Amino acid sequence: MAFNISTTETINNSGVVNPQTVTNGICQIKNYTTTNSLSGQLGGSTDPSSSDGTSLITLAFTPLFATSKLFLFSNTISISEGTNAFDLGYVAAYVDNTRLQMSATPLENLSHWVGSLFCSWPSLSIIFNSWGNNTKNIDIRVGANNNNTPIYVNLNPDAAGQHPSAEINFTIMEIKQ
Amino acid sequence: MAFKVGNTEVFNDQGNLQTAGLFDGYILQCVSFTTQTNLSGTLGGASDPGSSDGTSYFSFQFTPLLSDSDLLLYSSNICVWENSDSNDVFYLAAYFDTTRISIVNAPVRDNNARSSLTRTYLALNKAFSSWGTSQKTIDIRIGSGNGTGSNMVVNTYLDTTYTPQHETPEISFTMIEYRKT
Repeated sequence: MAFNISTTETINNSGVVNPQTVTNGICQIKNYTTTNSLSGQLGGSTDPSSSDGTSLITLAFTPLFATSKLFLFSNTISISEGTNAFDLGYVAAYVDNTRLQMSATPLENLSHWVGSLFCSWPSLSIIFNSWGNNTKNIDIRVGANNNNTPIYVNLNPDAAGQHPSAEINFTIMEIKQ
Repeated sequence: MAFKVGNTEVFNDQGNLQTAGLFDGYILQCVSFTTQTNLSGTLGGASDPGSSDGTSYFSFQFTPLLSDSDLLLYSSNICVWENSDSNDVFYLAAYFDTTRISIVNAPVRDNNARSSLTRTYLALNKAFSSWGTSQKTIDIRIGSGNGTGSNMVVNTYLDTTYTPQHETPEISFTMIEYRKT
C-alpha cells in the first residue's frame, strides 16, 4: 500500500520514497563510458553548432523533474592534429540545438609543439536547467576550428600501447531544486 | 514505531529511512582523499595493465554501506610526462583487489611534442558496482602502455632553474556511494 499525504504519493507500493517528496538535493546519477577513438577530418567551426564536428557519444537522460538542475562533467578528452591546419580542438555538449558548453583548453602556445601541431585536453563541467521529464540525448561532439584538418581524439596514431578499452567517462547528476 | 509498506520497513523505530526506501541516485556517502604525491623514474606498465603493473600512485580504503549500490570514483587532473623519449602512451588506472575499475590514456600524437616527449593529463570519472560491505583498498596506478615506463614524471617538474613548484600540489580522489536498484 502506498503512503500518501494529501494527493502526493510519498512512498510507493514498493516502499520506495518518491524523490518528488525530497526538498532539495541530488535525486539521480548516471555515468556513461565510451572507448571511442576518432580520426580524420571531423569537422568543426570557431562557433560550433550542434551539426558541426563529429559525435563522440550521446547520453540518453530522463530528468525526474522539470525544475531540476543538471550537472554534467567528464574527464579529460585528448585531441591532437595531424597537419597544421587548426589551432583549437574542442569538445561540446548539446541538447537539441542548444549548446550547453564548449571546452577547448587552449592553454599552450603553438611553439610548444613540433610544426605547430596542436594538442589539447578539454573536459566538460557545466550545470544547466532541466528540459522537462522526457528523455533526450545529450550529444557530445568534438571538432576543430578549421573543419578540413585531420585530428585525433583519444588516440595516439604514432605509437602502440594504447589500451583498447581506454575510457572517456561522463557523469550527469540531477539536483532537485 | 516503525513504518512499513507490506512487510518492508521503510522507516525504523527511530524514524530513519531504511535501505528499501531509498530511491535511485540517493547519495549514501561521499568521501574525498587527497595526496601530494609526485613520482619520477621507471614506473613500469603494460599495454593491458593488471593490478601489479605500473606503480601505485596512491591508495585509499573505502567501505560501502550497501552491497547493491553504485560507487562513483572521480579525480582531479594528473599531469604525466616523460623527460626522455622512452614511452609513447601513459595510463591511469584504478583497481580493487585484482579488478580494474577504469583505465584512461588520453593520448595525443607522439610526433607533435618536441623530441617526442609525450605528456598527458589524466583523470578518473567512473561508476561501478559495490563489492559488498567490507573495507577494501582502491589502488590508483600509473604506468606506460609501452616501453618500460622509464623516465616518467607524475605531478611535478624536474626543472631546477626556477623556484620550486607550489608546495602543496594536490590531487584529489572522490568516492560517492549512491543507491542503485
